[in-house]
Amino acid sequence: MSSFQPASHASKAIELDGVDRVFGQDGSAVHALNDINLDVDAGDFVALVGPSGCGKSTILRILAGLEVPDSGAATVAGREVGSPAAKVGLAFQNPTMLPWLTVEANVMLPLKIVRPYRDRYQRERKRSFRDRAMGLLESVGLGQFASKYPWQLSGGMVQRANLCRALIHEPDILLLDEPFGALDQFTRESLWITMQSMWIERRPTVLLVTHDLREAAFLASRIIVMTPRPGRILEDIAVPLQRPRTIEGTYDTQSVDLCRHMRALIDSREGAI
Amino acid sequence: MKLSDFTMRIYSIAIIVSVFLFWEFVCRAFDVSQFILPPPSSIIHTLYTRFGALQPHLVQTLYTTVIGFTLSVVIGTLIGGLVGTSRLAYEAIYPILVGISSIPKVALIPIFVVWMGAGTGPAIATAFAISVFPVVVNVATGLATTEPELEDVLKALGASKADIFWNVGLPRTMPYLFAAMKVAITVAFIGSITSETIAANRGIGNAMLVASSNFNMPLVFAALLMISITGVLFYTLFSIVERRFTRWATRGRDPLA
Repeated sequence: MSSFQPASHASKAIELDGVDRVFGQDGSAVHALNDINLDVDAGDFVALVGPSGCGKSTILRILAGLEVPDSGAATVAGREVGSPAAKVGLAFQNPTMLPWLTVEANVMLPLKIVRPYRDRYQRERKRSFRDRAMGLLESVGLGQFASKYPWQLSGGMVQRANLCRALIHEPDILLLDEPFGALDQFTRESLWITMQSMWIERRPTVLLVTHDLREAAFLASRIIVMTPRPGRILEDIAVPLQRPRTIEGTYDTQSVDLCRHMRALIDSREGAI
Repeated sequence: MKLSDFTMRIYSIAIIVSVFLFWEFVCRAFDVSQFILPPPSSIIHTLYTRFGALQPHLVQTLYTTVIGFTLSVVIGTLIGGLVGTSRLAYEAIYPILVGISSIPKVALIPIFVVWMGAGTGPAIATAFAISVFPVVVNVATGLATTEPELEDVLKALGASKADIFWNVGLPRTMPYLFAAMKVAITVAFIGSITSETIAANRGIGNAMLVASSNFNMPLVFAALLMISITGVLFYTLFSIVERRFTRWATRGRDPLA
C-alpha cells in the first residue's frame, strides 16, 4: 500500500482485497480464506454469518492485526492493518476483562495503550477519561457497577462492559466475535437492544461475526453469508428492515424470510460437501 | 456441615491446644526423661527464661533468612520472567535449574564456606539457593499460562510486549508469586538454620548445636519452638499481604479466613 490515499477511499472503513489465508502445511493445509473481497462503508453495521470453519473469525483476526494474510491486502480506514495507526476495538465471546481491575479501570484500558490517549492517561484517568468511561457504562445501565470487579457481575453485565471497552477509544472499526454467543436467549436479546441503540447513537463501523441468523437480521444493515472449505463469500445481503428494530419484529414475515433464505444458502453448501 | 468462621476458629484452636496437652500428658504419664522428650511446659519455661540468650541468635537467623529470601524473590522473579516469556530461555535455563535444585543444599554449604568463610555468607547463600526455585517455577508458570485472549485484546490495540507484560503478565502472575513467597520464606529459614548448624558461631542453628552438645534438650526444643513460631508468623504475614493484593484470584472468597 502506498501512503497516498485516493479521495474515494475516505469513506471506506474496511477494505479487503483478494485476501487469502491458509493454515498448516501442504498435506493437512486448510484453506481458511480464499480470495476475499469486501468493502465496508464507514458507519455501516455488517454481519458475517456462516458455519464453523468458514473463516469469518479469521477475517476479524486479520483486521485486528492478530493474523497476517498470505496474500492480498487489508486496510482499516485507509491504513494498512497492523500499523499502530489503525484503531480497532475488539470484543470476544469470552469476556476478556482483567479480573484484577475494576469494571471502570477495565473499560479505560484501551486509553492506557492507544495513542494519543496513553500520553495523557496518568493525568486524565481520574478526570475526562473517567467521565468518558462512566458515560459509556451509564449508557448500558452499568453506572452503579463501575467500581465492582468483573467477577462480581453477571455474564450479561460483563459483556455490556466489554462493549464499552471496545468503544472507549473511538475506534475506526468495532470487531465483535460472537460477543453474545455465551449468553442465554433473554440476556442475549436485551444486549441486541443495547447494541442497536449504541450503534444508532454513535454510528461506529461494526463487523459482527455470529452463528445466530436472527441476531444478524436484528443488528446488521448488511449480511455477508460465508461458506467453508475454502472460506469464501457466498452472498452479500442488504437488510431491508427499518430501524429501530424490535425483538417482536424478528418474528415478522420479512425477518423470518431473511433468516430462512440465509439458512437455505448455508444448507445448500453444507449438503454439497 | 458448614461451620461459621467463629466456630471454626474455636475448633481449630481447641485442636492445636489439645495436641500440646496430649504431648504434656504422655511425658508425665510415662515419666519420659527430659533428655529424650521434654514436655511443652518445660520447653515454654526454658524459652521464657532463656529468651535473652536466644534472642541475638534469632536476630542473626532472621537477618540471613530475610536477605536470602529477598534475593530469591528478586532474582527468581527475573529468571522466572525470562523462562516464562521466552521459549529459548525455557529450553536452556530450565534443565540447568532442575539440575541445581536436585542437589541437596547441605552439600553446597562447604562450597559456600570455602567461597565466603563461615557465618553470615553461607547462611544467606543457602537460604537463597533453597528458596529461589519455587519462585522461578511459579513466576514462569503464571506468565506461561496467561490466557491468549487477554493478550489478543491488548495486541489488537497496538500494545507493545512491555505493555502486555505490565498490564497482563505481571498482575496475572501475582497470585503465583505470593504462593511462591509463602513457600520460599519457610524453606529459606531451613536453609539458614542448616548452614548455621554446619558453619557458624551465631544463629539459631548454632545455638541448637551448642545446646544439644551440652545435652540441654529443653533449650534445643525451645529454639525449635522459636523457629516454628517465627515461621508461622512469616507465613501469616505473607498470607495477609497475598489476600490484600490478589483478592481477584479467589473471586473475593477467602480460603484462609
